[in-house]
Formats: sequence, C-alpha cells, structure tokens
Amino acid sequence: MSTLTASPPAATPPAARRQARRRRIRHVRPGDVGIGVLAWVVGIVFFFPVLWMFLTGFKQEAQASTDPPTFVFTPTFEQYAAILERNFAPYFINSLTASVMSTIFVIALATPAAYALSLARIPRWRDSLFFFISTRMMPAVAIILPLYLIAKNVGMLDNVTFLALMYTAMNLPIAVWMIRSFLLELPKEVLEASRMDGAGLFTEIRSIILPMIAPGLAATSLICFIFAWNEFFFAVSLTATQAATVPVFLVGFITSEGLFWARLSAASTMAALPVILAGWAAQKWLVRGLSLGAVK
Amino acid sequence: MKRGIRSWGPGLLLVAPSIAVIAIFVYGLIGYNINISLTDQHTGLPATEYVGMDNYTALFGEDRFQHALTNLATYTVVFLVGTMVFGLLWALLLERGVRGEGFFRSIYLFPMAVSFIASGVVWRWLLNSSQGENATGLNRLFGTLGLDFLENPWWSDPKWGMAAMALPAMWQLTGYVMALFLAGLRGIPEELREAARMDGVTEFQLYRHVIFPQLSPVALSALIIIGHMSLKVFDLIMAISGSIYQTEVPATYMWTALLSFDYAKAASIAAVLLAVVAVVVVPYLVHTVRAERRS
Repeated sequence: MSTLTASPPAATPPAARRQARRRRIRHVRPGDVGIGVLAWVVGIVFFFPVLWMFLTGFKQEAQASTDPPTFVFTPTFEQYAAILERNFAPYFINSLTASVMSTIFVIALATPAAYALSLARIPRWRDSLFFFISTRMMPAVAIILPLYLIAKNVGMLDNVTFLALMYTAMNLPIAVWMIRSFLLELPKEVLEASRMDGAGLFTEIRSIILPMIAPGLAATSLICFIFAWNEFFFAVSLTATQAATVPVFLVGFITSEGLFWARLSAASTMAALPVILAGWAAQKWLVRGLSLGAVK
Repeated sequence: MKRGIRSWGPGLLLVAPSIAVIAIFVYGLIGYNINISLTDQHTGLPATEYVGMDNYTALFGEDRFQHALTNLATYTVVFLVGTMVFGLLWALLLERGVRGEGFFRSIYLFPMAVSFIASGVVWRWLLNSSQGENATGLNRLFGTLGLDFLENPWWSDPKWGMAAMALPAMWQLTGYVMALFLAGLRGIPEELREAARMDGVTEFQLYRHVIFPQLSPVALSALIIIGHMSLKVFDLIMAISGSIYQTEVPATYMWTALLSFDYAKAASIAAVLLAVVAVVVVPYLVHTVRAERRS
C-alpha cells in the first residue's frame, strides 16, 4: 500500500465524485485544519517510540540518558560494533534461517491446499477451512510443554530446523486462508478460456494461475516472514545456545544490560529493521492476515 | 463410488499434507498437554499416576493464580477499550478526508510489524517508574510540561500496573483496529448517507443512527481478534518487566512453572488458558464459517 491508493476518484461513480468534491470544497474551513493538525499529532505519537529507538542507537551511552534528552548529536556506530562483538551474528543468522525456511515450507504446503479449497469443486471441504483457521487463534502456550518434551526425546531441542517446522505449523492457517482469498479473486473467464483451449490441470496451474497470484504469494510470504521473525515464545522455550533467535538475544540483553539504553536501542533497531521494511511493503496484507480474511 | 473418489480424491491429496501438519502439531499436542495436566508430574521425574482434576482444583484455589487472572482481566479491559475507542477515532479522522491519508494510514499501521520484544526496550524507557528529579521518558515529559500530577510508577504500580502494561499493546494494535473500521466505513454505500442527509438529520444523528449500526460486524471481528491476542499476552510482559509476580498473567505463570519442572501445573495452566481463549474464539469462528457458507 502506497500513498497512491489514498483517494481513487476514478473508481467512484460520477455522482459520488461530484459529491465528494462538493464536500471537500465545503470543508476548507478551520475544522479541516484542526483535523490535519490532529492527524499529525497522532502520527508523531505513533512514530516517536521507533524514531527514538533508532536515534538512541547512534548515541554515546552518556548522551542516551541526558536530561533533557539530546536530539542533536554526532552519530556513532560504537553501539553497533559493541553488539557485533557480543556475537550477535549467529542469532541473526538463526532468525533468518528459521524465518526463510518456514516461509518456503508454508508456501509449498499452503498453495495446493488453498487451490483445493477454492477452485477445485469440493464444497464439503470448505469445512476444513474451519479446521485451519481455528488453529491459528489457539494459544501457543497450550502445546509448548508436549512440544518441549517431544523435542527433548528426539534430540531436536535447540535446533533451527525444528523451530522452522514450528513456524510452519504456526503460519500455515493464515497462508491457506490468504492464498485462497487471492484465488477466489481470479476472474473465472480466464480459467474457462484456458480450459476451452484444452489446457490440462497442470498447465493451467503453472502458466495461468501461478503467474496471476504471484503478487498474492509474495504478500503472503512477507506476512509469514514477519510473524516468524517476531516470534518469541517458541524460540525462548525450544532453543538455548545453538539455535536461539534475535528476540531471545534481545530479552537476554535487556536482563543483562538493562541500563545501557544506547546499546539496547541499537540491538532493538537491528531486530526491528527487517520487519519494519517488510511490514511497510506488506501493510495492507498484514491487516488481512491478522483478520483471517475478515477484511479485504 | 468410483466417481466419488475421482471428484474429491485430488482435492484430498492437496489438502492432506497441511491437515496432517496441523492435526499432529496442534490437536495432537493439545491432547498430550491435557493428559499431562491430569497426572502428578510435579518434578523432573516421570508421572506415577493420574490424579484426575486435582491439579485444576488446586490451581483455582490458589491466590497466585487468581492474581494472574485478575491481572489478565485488567490488561484485557484496558487494551480492548483503548484500541477500540482510539481505533474508531483515528478511522473517523481519516475518513473525514485528511490530505495524504495513505501516508497517515501507513504511520498508524506500522507499529503492527514491530514485535513487543523489539519495542520493549523503548517502552521500558518511556514507562520508567522514577519520578521527580530522576524521571525519564513519559514521567520526564509530564514534569517538563508542568503536569507533575500525571507522573506515576506505570507498570510497577501494584494495583494499576497492568493498565500501564496495556499502553504499548495499544500503540501496536490501534492502527490495525483503525484499518478494520476504515474498511467498514468505506463499505457503507454513499446513497445511505445521502438519503439520511436528505431527511435532514444532523451529522451526529447520521453517525449515531446510520453509520455506527453498520459498523457493528466489523467491531465484533475487531473485538474478538484483539481479545484473543490480549488473552495470550506473553512477549510484552517478558520484554518490559520479565516474569515477576507483580505483572504475572497465566502465560508467564505457566512459564515459571515450566522452568521449575512442575509439568503437571504448567499443563493445567495452559489448558485453562486454552479453554478461556476457546470460549471467545470458537463461537466467532463457527459464525464466520456459517456466513461464508451462505455466501
């Protein structure tokens, strides 16, 4: 979602457009300015915590806790260097591995399932959708103990692949639901036309459906990546030293260096940056993903 | 019969792997968990016998668990009311037509992608409990603005600490509720407003009697989604206060039980939490699936 989607006048019927224009003209008055100011104030309040975290990460430790707070300073990479010295890289690599691996698994499993649940005509299978979406909302707490015991018994504790499997199970319902909603939006005529031309099921999927839902698959991947990257509960329960991810590192860091604000901020910034970028690109889909399709 | 297989067989094959993954990892493990909760596995050693509902009776008789439930209730009420009220306000704000709406929507939405763990550091700073001379974060801001009476211990307050704990959660998810309401507002046909205006209703009456009733399905979805997230809260508390008694909720209590190898207790806390979430979520899901089937 970009700023371009703000007001699509072309899509609205002429009457509504005229009406909207009339309204806009009527609204150029003090109230309008007030709304604009309010929007900015709210925007700044929302943006401030992350901005502050970002800025603090580039300060010297002494500047991070001055009174009043410092806004103008010479940026330093000292804190980032200090974190890298604390062996941050393995955590980052673990996070990346678990997130990317699980996203690939999820898309590979969810795409055929979503296809079966949307295009292929098996109405009774709609009920299995219930089965899918219900699991997404159940608390992870309810399965963590058995999971831990099983992982311990099969020697998979502290293992990135096992963590990736967990994230796969965690994100699968959302992915099935989202991909299905993209498939349902495909124009029926295109598929019918391809069938008329004698395209087989395989050709139809590969050369017609997949290219058309590619943007949807990309959006779904981004969402799954964000959820996996941010996940903390499974990570802290199932990993120790070998497979621990960035959130686990960060919580340990908060406990051990609680008052080093600049260093902590630098670490948080590194933890947040990948998902802020992914999140900005996939915002609209993030809303759809969390709503399980309740809102398009 | 043969035709039957041919029509649903391929579909079954495509869905089966996903269903298998979820059946094993979700339902199988929930069953396993409930099984543990019925045993006497209170130390690292294997269970010796089934004790029926004893673990649950003990749990509900415990002050500590009731304290955790009370904390969860305080947090949930503040979080829900806050996100719903502010979410609706921001949606109305944007709906009135602010220039650069897409930009503002992005700003309001982006905290959603940032985890509680990552934003926890800055929230620890903002919600620092020191007051007066040593104040930092929000308390410092209040002091500077001459609003000293607003300075408070935030999450360290024994009684209202959990309300302060809901602030970062509100920051994270108000934008999401806003997006839901905004979509709902945009879905209301313009004719409806026109007709009401023709009838000469005031702007207030228009919202009160025409717009808001149309938004109630969206509000219900938002309530359920935010509500179930609230009941599961864990990350936020671990990032801001750590697992301490004062800010304990069922999920963090379960965590401490797990660390002390009291598996039976951990499993029963988990099962209770699951039941609470299910009470909220299952009727909603049934409703959603029925609506979907009708369409």
